[in-house]
Amino acid sequence: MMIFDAGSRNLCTVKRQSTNTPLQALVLLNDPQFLISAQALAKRMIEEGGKNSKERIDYAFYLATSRKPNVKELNILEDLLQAEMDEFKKHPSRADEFLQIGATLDDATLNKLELAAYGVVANTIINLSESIQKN
Amino acid sequence: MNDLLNLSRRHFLKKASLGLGAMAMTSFDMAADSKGLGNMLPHFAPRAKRVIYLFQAGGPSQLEMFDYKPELIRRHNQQLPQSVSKGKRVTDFTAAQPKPMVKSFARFKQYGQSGTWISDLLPHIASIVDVICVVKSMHTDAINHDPALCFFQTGSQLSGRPSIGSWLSYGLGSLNDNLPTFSVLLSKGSGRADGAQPLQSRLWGSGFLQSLHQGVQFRSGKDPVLFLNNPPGISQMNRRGVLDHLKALNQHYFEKEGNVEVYSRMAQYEMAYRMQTSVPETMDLSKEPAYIFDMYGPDSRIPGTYAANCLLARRLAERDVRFIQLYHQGWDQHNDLPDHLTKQSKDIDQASAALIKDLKQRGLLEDTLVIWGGEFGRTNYCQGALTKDNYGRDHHPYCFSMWMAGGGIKPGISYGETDELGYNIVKDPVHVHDFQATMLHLMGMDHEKLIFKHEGRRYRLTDVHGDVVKDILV
Repeated sequence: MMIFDAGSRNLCTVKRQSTNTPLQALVLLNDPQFLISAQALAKRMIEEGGKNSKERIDYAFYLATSRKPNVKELNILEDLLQAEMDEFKKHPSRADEFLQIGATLDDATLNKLELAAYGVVANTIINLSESIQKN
Repeated sequence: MNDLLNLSRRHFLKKASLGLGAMAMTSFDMAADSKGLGNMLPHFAPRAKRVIYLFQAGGPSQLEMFDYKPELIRRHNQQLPQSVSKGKRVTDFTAAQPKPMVKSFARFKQYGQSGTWISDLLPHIASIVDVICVVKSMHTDAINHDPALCFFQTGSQLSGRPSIGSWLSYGLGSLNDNLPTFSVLLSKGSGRADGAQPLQSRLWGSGFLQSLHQGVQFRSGKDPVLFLNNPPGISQMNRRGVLDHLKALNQHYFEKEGNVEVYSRMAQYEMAYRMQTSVPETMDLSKEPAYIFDMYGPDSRIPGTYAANCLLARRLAERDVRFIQLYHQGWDQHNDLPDHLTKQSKDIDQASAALIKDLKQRGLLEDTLVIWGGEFGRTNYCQGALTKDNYGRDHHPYCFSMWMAGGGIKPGISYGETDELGYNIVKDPVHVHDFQATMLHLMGMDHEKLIFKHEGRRYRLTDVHGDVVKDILV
């Protein structure tokens, strides 16, 4: 949390600094906590988001940013989803490795390749500037 | 182009009639910001391309290290004369107590061809006196740590302004896009067992400049940067694909909203990607020969120590990181000075000298400015009980010492003098703003011209003060 300017709790701080560093990017992209969150979001996308990729992406985007994506944004994310599906189809062991992080979410009913692909898309949505930063 | 880089929402609303489409937002070159203000700078030929600032947090005692005062030996235990202190501002710590002057427990000798006075606490620094310039006439306006640190780093005692590294990043941009332009390394001193003065991360913050100019702190210890590695199952190529899509989404959002901070965030994500390869390579000391570790001292093998950070600083300098700042904490010897100062000095002596020697033998010293110093000095009178073997010194803003080397600094000289009691400056005072002006000058910038307009006022690092100290320049 120090990387995100949390107060050090031994000093009185009137206002937290607003910073923006590559260290924050690395946390949001690679910290297991955020990866587990992304995979949990992916699970919700599949189970609650709707029947097709468009509805599911809409859902996750809305949860993260409080708005629905426009056509251009949707296309970019669907493109990413397809690329991830292809990647994990080609290397199914990678899907297993990736999902290991969120092992507590393990649900035998979900398609592993699908969950991994949506997991990467969910991670991307969480990493949007709009998701992170209050404006 | 420069104006476009500093757009704010207010600017957008003002120019709304032009229409978003009309503005050349889509042709934004993300790399452009890494080049700083581009063609305008530097103002003239720089002497230094990079700075290594070895900041000694807490206020090292100049009287036991650099400023030899034999008169204090003669007048040991006498009260500080009123005529000298003349109602000057003192801290609450010692305002009410008597002020017996105290001689230095450390002994001084002259060294090198320059005959520079150095105490026996610093034998290694003594061996490089002919390469460095010791300034004994530094003075500051601040009397306590946080305002004094803030003053040195931002030019104002009140927080909110950009730090030196941020100004340099803004003005000159980066020489190496794979590493943060402004890197910060911290180390804890062995001098104060009860903990040192804390440091706030706003000391390397970007203030009102774009946040991509802020300092990036490397952690001390085994993993200088956390979460460098991609998660299992995610290849580097996959990650690149994700980042490209993220970039496209953020770019689209940027075009709609015009919030410049999105642009900073995009830049930081790209930097994070590059750091995944550049940081492990930089921090990997396994190929450094044994004689290098011997030169820096045994601490240099222990990650997180000052010596280890000095070695890293040299590696960062080799890779053209523009501003490398080390903070060594634990100075501030209000009490137990003889014991604690000895330990603190031992922390830094060998490694600081080794860094200079190392840079010199690699031909890097001539365009790297190295600075060593703290936020203020210490009083010539004792704080607390003065016994045969023990004493302390309080904060003293009216005179203190720093040294500099490389990057256009005249080697082998001492500059400035304090009075025989070590209380006031009698010759060639150098104020914090003068020091900042000089540093910017060596980097090829006129400190009065490196400005940023914020909330209706033009700001610069040196506020509205500062003169370049020409006499210490080659």
